This record gives sequence, structure tokens and C-alpha cells, in this order.
Amino acid sequence: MKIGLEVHVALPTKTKLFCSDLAYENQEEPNSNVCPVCLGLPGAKPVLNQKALEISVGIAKALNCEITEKTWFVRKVYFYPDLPKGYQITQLDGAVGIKGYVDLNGKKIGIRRVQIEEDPARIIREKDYTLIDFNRSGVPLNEIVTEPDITSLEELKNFIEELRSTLYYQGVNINQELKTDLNISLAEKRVEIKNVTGVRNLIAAAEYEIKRQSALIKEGKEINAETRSYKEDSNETVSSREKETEEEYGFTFEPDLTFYDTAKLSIPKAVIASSAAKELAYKNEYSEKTIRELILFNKKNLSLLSSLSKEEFKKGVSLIEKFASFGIEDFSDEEFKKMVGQDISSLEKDGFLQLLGRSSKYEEKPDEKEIETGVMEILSLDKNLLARGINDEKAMGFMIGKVKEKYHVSGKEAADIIKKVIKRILNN
Amino acid sequence: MTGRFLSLKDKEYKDFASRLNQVNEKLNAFNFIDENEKNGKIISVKDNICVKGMPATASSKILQGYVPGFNATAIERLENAGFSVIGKTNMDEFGFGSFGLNSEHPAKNPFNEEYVTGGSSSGSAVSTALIKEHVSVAESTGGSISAPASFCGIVGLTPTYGVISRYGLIDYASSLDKIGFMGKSADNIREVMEKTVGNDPKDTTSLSATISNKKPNKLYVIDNLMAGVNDGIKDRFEGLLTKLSEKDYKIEHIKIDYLEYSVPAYYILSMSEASTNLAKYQGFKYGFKVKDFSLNYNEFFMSARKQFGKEAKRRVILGTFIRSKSIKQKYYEKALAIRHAIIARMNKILKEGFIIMPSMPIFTPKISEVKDISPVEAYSMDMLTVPPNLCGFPHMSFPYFYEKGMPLGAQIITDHFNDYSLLDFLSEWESNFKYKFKEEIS
Amino acid sequence: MEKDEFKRLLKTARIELDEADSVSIEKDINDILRFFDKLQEVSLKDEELAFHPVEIPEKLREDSVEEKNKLGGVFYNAESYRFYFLGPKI
Repeated sequence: MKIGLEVHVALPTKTKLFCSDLAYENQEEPNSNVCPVCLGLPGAKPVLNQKALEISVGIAKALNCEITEKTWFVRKVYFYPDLPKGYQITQLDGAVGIKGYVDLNGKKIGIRRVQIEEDPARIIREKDYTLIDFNRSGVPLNEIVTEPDITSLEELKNFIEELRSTLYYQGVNINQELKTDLNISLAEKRVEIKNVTGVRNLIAAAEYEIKRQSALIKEGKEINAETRSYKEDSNETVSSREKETEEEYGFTFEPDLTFYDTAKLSIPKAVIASSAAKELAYKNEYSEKTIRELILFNKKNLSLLSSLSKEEFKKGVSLIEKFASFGIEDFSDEEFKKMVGQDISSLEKDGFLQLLGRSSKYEEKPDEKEIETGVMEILSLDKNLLARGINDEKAMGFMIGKVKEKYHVSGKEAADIIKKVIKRILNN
Repeated sequence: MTGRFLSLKDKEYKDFASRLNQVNEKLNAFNFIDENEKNGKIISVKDNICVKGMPATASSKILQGYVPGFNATAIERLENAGFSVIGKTNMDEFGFGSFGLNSEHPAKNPFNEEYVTGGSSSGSAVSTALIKEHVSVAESTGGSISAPASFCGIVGLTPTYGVISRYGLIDYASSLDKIGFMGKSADNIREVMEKTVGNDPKDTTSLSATISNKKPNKLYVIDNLMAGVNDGIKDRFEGLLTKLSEKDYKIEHIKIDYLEYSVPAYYILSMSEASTNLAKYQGFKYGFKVKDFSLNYNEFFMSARKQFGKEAKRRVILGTFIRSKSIKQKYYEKALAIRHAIIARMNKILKEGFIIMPSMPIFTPKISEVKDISPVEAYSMDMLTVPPNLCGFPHMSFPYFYEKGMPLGAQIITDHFNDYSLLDFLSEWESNFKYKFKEEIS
Repeated sequence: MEKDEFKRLLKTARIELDEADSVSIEKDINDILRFFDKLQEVSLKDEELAFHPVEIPEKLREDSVEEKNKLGGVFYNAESYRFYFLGPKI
């Protein structure tokens, strides 16, 4: 079995890739962050966002890529109403990073290319027309193209987790829905599944496709080389009409831009959480698995754990878990240092807070109206949460945590109010 | 030295505009004339350059109704320097043409309406010829300033690629497009040029280079280019060389390798880029609108793109072909290599002297003579204007002879970023030569 | 260029031609391609490629929002509905 991926991830910049409109903030009103450049108006010209270039080099380095010294862009021509210029500015031969890999505990998954590109607009399908919001047009993306080196579903899951953690440590917003194209071949012929949104769907699509192809092989039937798409509602992949081929995209050098020197950028050394976990485990003779879980998506935990001596380490881990179980996320390094010397193993939350020097008054009652907006925002971030609805404890816990974090509230009473609001919204 | 421009205020402008409208009905110089009062030195602008609040169509039906909400950087700078735009000038659609005929209402030559104006900056040439002390902001991709300047008896300056921002210029071929000027005096052109050059943060390809005026005393004639020139033109051009050699210029004849490939190389590159630049025209958002949104998007786009003229369609189809992965190397990459080879060779020559040649290889043709010629024949007429355009060298066409009342232009070329030397040459030329302008409006 | 190739190009470029234009443009294109084939006389195998006529140094934009001339009405030139651009059916 061979699986290869093309993962699209939005970069953490303030503004868009080629113009100075906001990329993520104040997006509620459609077409409120647009200008001639991202609307593709005749006469407008792109100018590259330095931060997007730096982040991309950082990501490519973290994925062990060779960095292209003079990176450049191409035009990929295709026609769709969400693509304002009729071409997307992207990269191919001049891509910022090539020939990298992700190390999955000794097995290397090849990274063919890390390329910088612009996101098209958001398009809403209506019966007899479409509605288009160009706020998303020009948002900076990286497309990460792997070699077809993934050989099992388990490996796919591990790869995605490792990739997400690596991206998280490059500052990428890890709550975003990754958009992925995947190709799977169990036999000779390659099947591509385009435009899968979110990690859950990616795994589900791969799982379905593996079953489908296995069944065909068992029956002695031919597998067609084709493009398919994943249907979330029915959890299956279906054959879809082929889009443009590479021949038709007619990639050419983007003459409105030039070559960009990557050598002179100062990019800090990449943090790879799973390597860090390995080192911490070895140094402190502690469970690698536990450390890995704590730091995979938590920079603060990594920094706290790295600051501990071998003697303090075990206590430090318990303390981190304690903070988490009490839902206290905004503690300072000083508070952590202070508590690491204390015996906290038997403390309930009140006692813990007292020792921490925070009074129970800290538990303020949040404003319901405020929470409602908060919940709406979080729901719009993650459609899976909405789908999973109120019966999923974990999803509920996650949302409560998020709202608490946002409004700096804690305590059971607050949690109850939040829960009430969430239920009300979800039931609507 | 500062230029002298027509400055019309309030009522004066209203009268001027109505006289202009009258002449325009006959000569089609303008696609749009602004009736609003002006305050300042008046200029006109080619219709592929955005002027805030004025229609911008690039003479294409697909842009009909488009009114940009922003100024091209060149226009912004000129307005800040006290210039005022009176209107948008006619052109070959998107710049696709050498005679001005690829427009719904082609501009007419002010010397004789039966003759072509040259293109693609046809209307800029005519307006410059017609209006007293006028300068028109034009644009050249492969010869769109030199050709009409030559046929309409005015001066056309095409600067080094990148010294004037392209922000607000409706793209034909991004690596070749250059905003430039048409005028009737070195001083006027110098003034608008000085006000527009310089780095623009909004255009990646705009440069902050210092522009020099190192004037050589050597003039190179390129024999392998002259081979394709009409004998009559060759003869008048010899006369010009004699005149210039009397002015202490040393004439040298040379051959530059690969120049004979510059026209196909130019069309390959320009069509490739044009076919991507024109992908944005889809019949919604701006310009021409397809009424029926319930058409499937592919049919919708096809229906919109019917608005392109024939030459635009030809170039988009061919450009799309040339970009195809399987043949890209054969044409596109070869053309890039040829461009590189020619730049290197011209560069060496231009360090030592100007290159001089006629602007066009033929006498001004009648409309009837060229309206049905084949594309290849038409493209071949660009043999003299293409080399400096392909390679981004600054060049200038200036009138040097009148043949039965019709003007003839010659073109001089200098090294990258030595643009002002062309204007120094022109100042000198003006002190010895009497232009016969076809001026009607003041 | 083969007939099928020409048809494929029209589709790729989203250009629809009536019969008369189709015949004449196909002929023109074949003429022009023959004219372009002149380039095959030269090899220039190791020649650098000139993507621009002059060297264009890199120009990067700081990642900050700048004061800019807001477009005079985003939808001024377009059909819109509730702050959305109206587009063709997909």
C-alpha cells in the first residue's frame, strides 16, 4: 500500500500573502478585507509578505527540506469562480523547500516539496448562482507534498499527528481544518481523493478507500486510475470528474514577482516535539509517551519540563497534570516554580488554589451574552464539534475549556453556565 | 528645464473639451473625454492605465463599464505634481496590434485619415499630435509607443523596463510592459518622466535605479536588421545618418547575433504571459457582465470571453498552447534563452554608443493596405521595435523626415537606465530640425 | 497542430469560436507556429533564461496593515447580494 498526501495549511501571518489586508481578523462581514490585489482587479500587482516567506522557510526546515536558495513563483491557470485572477500564484520547481522528510520513530516519510501559495476565495453554492467572499482570497498557505511513503492507516495517523505537532511548533494555528488531497494505491493504479477537509475526514476517507480497493483486488477486479471525492454525509469516496491536468494548468514563471533569497533570512532552529520528548525521557528517566503527550501540542509544557532538574521532573509532570485537571491554564512560570516545591498530591482544587495564592473569588460568573459569542466563534472554527453535538462529552469539554480560556473564567458554576449556553445554541 | 503644458481652467476647459469632442468624432483619439473642470497641466492617458473614477477598457468590450476605484501609481504621481487627466486614449485591444486597427473604432492618422496611426498606443499618438504642448501617458510592450509615434509625427519615449511602476497598468505581458510617454518636446517628456520614475512598494518589478544621461558620440547601425527594411526607408534613413555624422556623431555598422529571432521570441513570451493575464476576464465582478448566473460556470466564462476581439482570442489560444507542459521547452524556454542572449550582446554595444534605426521598416500604410494582412505579416512589421522592447532597453522614436507630407520616425536605443541620454539627444535634434506637427486644438 | 489539439485548447482557454473564426484562427495559429519554429534553428543550450529584461531585486512587504485608499465601494462594478459577490453556478 502506498499513500501520499498534499496537505494545505494556512500560515500565521497578520496580513495576506500578496497584499496588506487582514488575513484572519475581523472576517465576520464578507468582502470586508479586500483590495484590488486579492480581488484580482485589472492593474493590481502582488508584493510578497516577508513573514509568510520566513514562516515557510521555517516549516520547510522543520520538515528537513533542502531550502531553495532563490525561491520563485509560478502561475497555475484554471477557471473557477473563487479564483479571481484565473490563475493561482503558487510554486513548483522553485518551491521554497524540497527533498525533506518526517521521521516517524525511525521510518522516514519523504517530503517532496513545501510550496507557498495563495488561498482562493470562499464560495457558497446556491441553486442558481454562487456567493463569493474574497476575505479568504490571498490568505497565505503552504502546500506540503509528501512522497507516497505511507504504507498503513496507522502510519497515516502517526504522520498527521507528527506533522501537526511540527506545524504547531512553527506557530501554525493547529485548530484549523487541514485541507488534504490524498493518493492511495493498493495495486498499480493510483487513485486520488481531492479536497478532504479536516483530519477526521482524511482518516475516514483513507479507511474507506483502502477497504474499497482491497475488495476490488479480492474480487479480481481492476482498480481505475481516477480522481474521487470524499462524501462526509455517507462516509464514502465517489468518482469525480477530473479537473485540469498538469498539461492544462500551463505553469509559467510569475513575472509580476521575482526571485527571493532565502539564505539571508534568520530562521531559528526547529523544535520537533517528539525528538524533544525522547531527549527529556532519556535525561530524566521518565516515560517518553507521557512526556510526548504533554508537549506534542503544548509549547508551555515543553518549556516548563525542559526547565526542571531530574529530581524535580516527576513532580513537575504531576503538577502540570494537576493544573490541567483543575482547568487552570493561565498560570505563570513563577507560579509553576513555586508549586513544584510543594506537596500537592492530595490537594483538592480549593486547597490547591489557596496554596497557589489565588482566592476562590477567582471563580467569577461569566456573562451569558459574552459566552454566546464565544461559543459561536469556536463552533465556526470546528465544524466537527458541531456535528458531534451535545452527546459527546469530549467535544463538550473542549468547548467549555475554550470558552473558559477566552474569558479567563474558571470553576464549576462558570462551566455550568457555559454548558447551558452551548446546549441552547446546538439545539437551535 | 521645465516643460510647457496647456493649463486650462474652468470655462476654458469646457470650451476646449467641446472642441476636442468635435475632432474626436472624426479621429477617434479618445475612448473617453472627461467633461469635468480641470485645474492643472493637462495630459491624456492610454486606456489600459487606471485613472480613478474614469472608465478603463483597454479598448476591450470585455472591460466595458469598468471604472477603477484607484489610480495607477504613475497617474497618482502626476496628479500630485499638478497634472490633470483629460481622458483615456484609444488603443489596440489590450495592446494587441501594431496599427491601431484592433479597436472597435480605430483611431485615424491626423495627417491623412486614410492612413493608419500605428499601434497599439494609437489614441495617445493622435491626441499628442492634435493638442498643443501635449503629453500622453502611453505604454509599450513590443513597440506600441515607437510605431504610432513614428506614423503620427511625434516623439515617443519608452523607458527602461521597471523604472516606472506598472501598478494600475492593465497587463498585457508583465515582463515586457512599460509605461512611457508621447510628446512633442524633450522638455515636456523629461518633466513627466521625472515625476513618475522611481520605486513603488506596490509593484515588485519597479526599480529604484538612478537614471543617467551618458551621451555617447557613436551611432551603431545594425546591418542584419536593416536587411529587412523597405528601400525607400533605407534611403531616407541614410540621409538622416549623413545629417547626424555632420553633427560629430561617428557612424558604425555592425551585426548583432540572434536579433533575427527577436520577433518570434517576443511573440512567444508576450502571448504566453497574455494568456494568463487575460484569464481574469470572466464576466462578473467588473466590466462586461453575463446576465444569467444560472449558467454553469464554464459556459458562463465562455459566454463572457466571446467579447474578446479576434486578435485577443488568437493570442490567448496560442499562448495557452505554448504554456502546455509538453512543449514549453520548445518555444517558451527557448524564447527566454534568446532574450538573454540578445540582452548580453546589445548590452555590450550600448556601453559604447547609441543604436539607431528607422522606427518602422515601411512607409505609413493606408488602412486598406494592412487591414487584411495575415498575423505573421503584421508581426513582422515589428522587427525594429521589438529588439529594444524584448530586452527592456530605453528607446525613443522621433520625427526626422516628411515624405509627401507624411512623417517618418527614427528610433534610437540606449543602455538600461541611461534613459535621459535619449532626451539630451532629442534636445540637440530639436535645435536643428523643424517639426511639422498636425496641431489643431489649443 | 492537430484538430483535436485545437479543440482541447479552446476548452482549456474557455474560448468559444463560431465556425468562420474557428477555421481562420486555426489556420493563423498554424502559420504563426511555423513562424515560431524558426527558433529551432538555434540551440542556446546552456544560455541562462531571462525571465525579466533587467535584474529585479527582491521586494518584500512587511506583515502589517497599512493605511490605504479604500476602494470606492467594493461592489461598485459588480452584482452583489448581502455583502457577497454574485458568481456563476457551480
